[in-house]
Amino acid sequence: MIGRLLREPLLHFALLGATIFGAYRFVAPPASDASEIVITADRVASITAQFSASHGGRPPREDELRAALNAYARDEMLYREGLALGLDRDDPVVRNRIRQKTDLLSEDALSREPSDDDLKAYLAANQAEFDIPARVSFEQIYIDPDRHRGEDPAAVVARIREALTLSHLPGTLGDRTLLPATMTEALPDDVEVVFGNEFAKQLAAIVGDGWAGPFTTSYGLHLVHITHRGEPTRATLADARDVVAREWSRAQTAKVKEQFYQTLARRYTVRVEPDADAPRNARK
Amino acid sequence: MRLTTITIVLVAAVGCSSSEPQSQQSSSAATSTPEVLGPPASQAGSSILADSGEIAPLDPSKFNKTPGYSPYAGRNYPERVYFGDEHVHTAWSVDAGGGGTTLGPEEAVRFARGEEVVSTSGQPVKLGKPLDWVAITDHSDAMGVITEIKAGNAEMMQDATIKRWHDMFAKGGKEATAAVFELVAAQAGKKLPPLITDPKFSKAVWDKNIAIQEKYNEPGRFTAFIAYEWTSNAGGGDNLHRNVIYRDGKARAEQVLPMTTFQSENPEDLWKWMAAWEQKTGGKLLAIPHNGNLSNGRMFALGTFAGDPMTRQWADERQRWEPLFEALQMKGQSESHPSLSTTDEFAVNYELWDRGNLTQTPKKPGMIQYEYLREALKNGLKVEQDLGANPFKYGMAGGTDTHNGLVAAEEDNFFAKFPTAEPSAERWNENAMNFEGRIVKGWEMSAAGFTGVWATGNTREELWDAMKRRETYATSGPHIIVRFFGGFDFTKADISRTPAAVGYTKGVAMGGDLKTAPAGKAPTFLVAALKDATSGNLDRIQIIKGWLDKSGKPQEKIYDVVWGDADRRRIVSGKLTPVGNTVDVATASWTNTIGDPELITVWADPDFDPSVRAFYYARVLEIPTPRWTAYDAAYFKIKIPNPKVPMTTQERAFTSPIWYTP
Repeated sequence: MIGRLLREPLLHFALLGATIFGAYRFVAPPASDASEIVITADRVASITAQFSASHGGRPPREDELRAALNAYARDEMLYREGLALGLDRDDPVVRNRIRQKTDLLSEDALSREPSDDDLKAYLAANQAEFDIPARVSFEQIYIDPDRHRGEDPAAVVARIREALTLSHLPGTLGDRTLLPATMTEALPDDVEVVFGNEFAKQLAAIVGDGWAGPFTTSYGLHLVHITHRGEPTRATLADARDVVAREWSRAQTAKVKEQFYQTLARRYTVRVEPDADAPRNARK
Repeated sequence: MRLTTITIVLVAAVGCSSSEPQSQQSSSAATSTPEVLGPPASQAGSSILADSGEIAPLDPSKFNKTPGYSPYAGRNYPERVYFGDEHVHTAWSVDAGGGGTTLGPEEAVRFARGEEVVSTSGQPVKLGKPLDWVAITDHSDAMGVITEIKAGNAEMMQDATIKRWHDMFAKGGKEATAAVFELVAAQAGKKLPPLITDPKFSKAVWDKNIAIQEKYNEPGRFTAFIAYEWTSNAGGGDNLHRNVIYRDGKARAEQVLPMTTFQSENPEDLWKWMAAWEQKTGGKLLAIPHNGNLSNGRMFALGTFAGDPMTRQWADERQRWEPLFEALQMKGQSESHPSLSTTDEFAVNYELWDRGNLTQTPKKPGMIQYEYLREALKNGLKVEQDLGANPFKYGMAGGTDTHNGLVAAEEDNFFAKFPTAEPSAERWNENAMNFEGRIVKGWEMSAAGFTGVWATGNTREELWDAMKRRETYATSGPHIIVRFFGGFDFTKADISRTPAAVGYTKGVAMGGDLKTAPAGKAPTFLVAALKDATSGNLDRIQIIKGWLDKSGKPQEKIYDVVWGDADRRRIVSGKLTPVGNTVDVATASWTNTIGDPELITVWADPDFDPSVRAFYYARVLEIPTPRWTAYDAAYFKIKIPNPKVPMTTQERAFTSPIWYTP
């Protein structure tokens, strides 16, 4: 029973929450530390490395190192005095940094690698998200209405259709455009980016062979011939493992963070104080 | 109350260097994974084993020089433009997080890829058009050691206590929780093993950022660059910021912590750092400066950071590390200023933030001429003539500089820079910045911009290489497609359905160089633009020329080279008649009944002098469409009575220049 409890993530959050928010209250720093600044050998090495990195690789001379260490000590003194004066309180930058550290600490401490079963279950529950929609290949002929002023668009279309029956190459028909004459193995999103949403919908609705349209876009009119329409691909764990793992991790993180927050929320009560400046009779 | 918050946030933005010294990483740097790293510095430049193998940059001079019979085979030039944002902050940036942003790098990348997210202010939001790539440019931050301990970092495992915690984490469950307890207690009691407080272990967040970019970087589908912003505010607010973009992946990026402004706020030191980084890792970096408009005369000053005269070496260095400049973003454009480009009718009142620097310390006379790119491009010609190198040979980029994780720069979908400025009925009239009463209003925020990159494919290497050769352009938001080629032999016969095929064969693309003109020939340009499927028609294409006159004085001239509704518009006393305006501000709508969906032409410089240096770049203008302020007014059913607030805009794109050097 105890063993099962200890495997409960919620208990871990409770302990972690108690740890993070309790430890500071009960473990006060020893008084003797306050007046002593110890610059460790590691710190000296790090300051030295930083110096040489910004001086073309040259190590500091003795006086330069002394100045750098003095600067470090001065910073440390100001930092400690500032903390003693409570300057870290009510500072949104400090508040945010500490909030963020806590956030990452809890996230890192309780994250885990997914098992195969986790991923299989996640894929099954979110299959559509990972499936690849049908790809389509097509060619299009463009008609710019501006270049056929005073002409019936239907007549222009009819002329192009006739030319197509006479085996003219589609790439030579219609009006000059920078739009692609063909798209190959395109996903619906790719088509939408180039030709717009309406065109993508109309393209998806084409049945049968031959030249369909004209379809209207913000560019003008288009005749469209689908040369190949693929089938949607059902995602399997073998193909999509990385992506499924990425999505699983994200969902998992969101879940555990929310649980952690709920655990914390049970330890606090939140009280909103009435506005002291509000007119007195407003409260009556 | 809201005003106070915003003020504090921006002060944080200015003073964002860390109070903790961050090691620049010696060779003993902590690495969380024992991967094969780059070679020692002495072998840099030789063949290198990296995480993805070496991919050599393309040689643009070989693009399509020998076309075969088949028009479709052997197209080794960039056929597609890839749109992205090289400037994004998330909750992990101190000023963004301090401003309340809750969306981190992961949400930011997902949003850029086109997925729906919930913004910090709780509003669901999705891009109208997904981006093809993004560079999340948060400030690196010292924090977190847990990942190092859990990963069993070799150096840390030397310490018996840390090793014990590592083992406890590995066991999981109760043991792991106990380790957290011990760790936190030790931290509170200042009894942490010294290794843990060593700043060189502050790379946890950097590594985590890298890990996120690696997860979302899908070559061929979506590129997530590793990147950061180096945020130098010289003199306490003169904006000299640079975004550093990595060509490489995790194995190289995680070897070294990003440069901080704590180490230096001198851009010359950033270049040194980049050189040292490349030496150490064998990888490649480039930097993109931004917001010259907020630099109070320092971004393109004609001198070094210390105010000394420029040298040839200095000019070479700057050009080497900084191929692009971010000319458009939410804090205004830095492309041209009406007081400098006095004949440019489209620079007037176009997204200008020109009163002060980042803290809105007012400008003094004479500063503006060193803040805008067009002026710098002109001055660069002069510097090159005098010193033999051009420090300001910049191509064009556009970014959002969003601080809420949302690259939502579309006018009808503008989520602005900070959570406090996400859509609300009041935001237009609130303060976007307030420094002791020096105010920038909410309506002055610009819904811009993105960078179009002509690359052979959507991978880090291909996009980065295209940025390096400046085959890029800036857009104010719409995905306008722009081709721009220069050469000496383009003729009207080259106007075709595939301008790139002839463009790369007979000339150079945007960002390239033209050398000595053949006798009797002037530069010719093949320029083409296609409207964004869901945005406005095109008004016109202009070519902006800068040159040195005989006395060595920089000059500029703007040519209208092709325009929509050509049957009814003409040039009257040097000026093209306006395209018109169909915007109905009340409903925030317009019609594409004016302008053209696409424009293409070949233009020859009629005023060419083969003996002087010059540059040329294209500017594409859309017809007027509603600005984000009009969408706000329509959606929230509010009146915006201030006549200074623009309610329409002409969206635009600027290409990288092509330089002519005799």
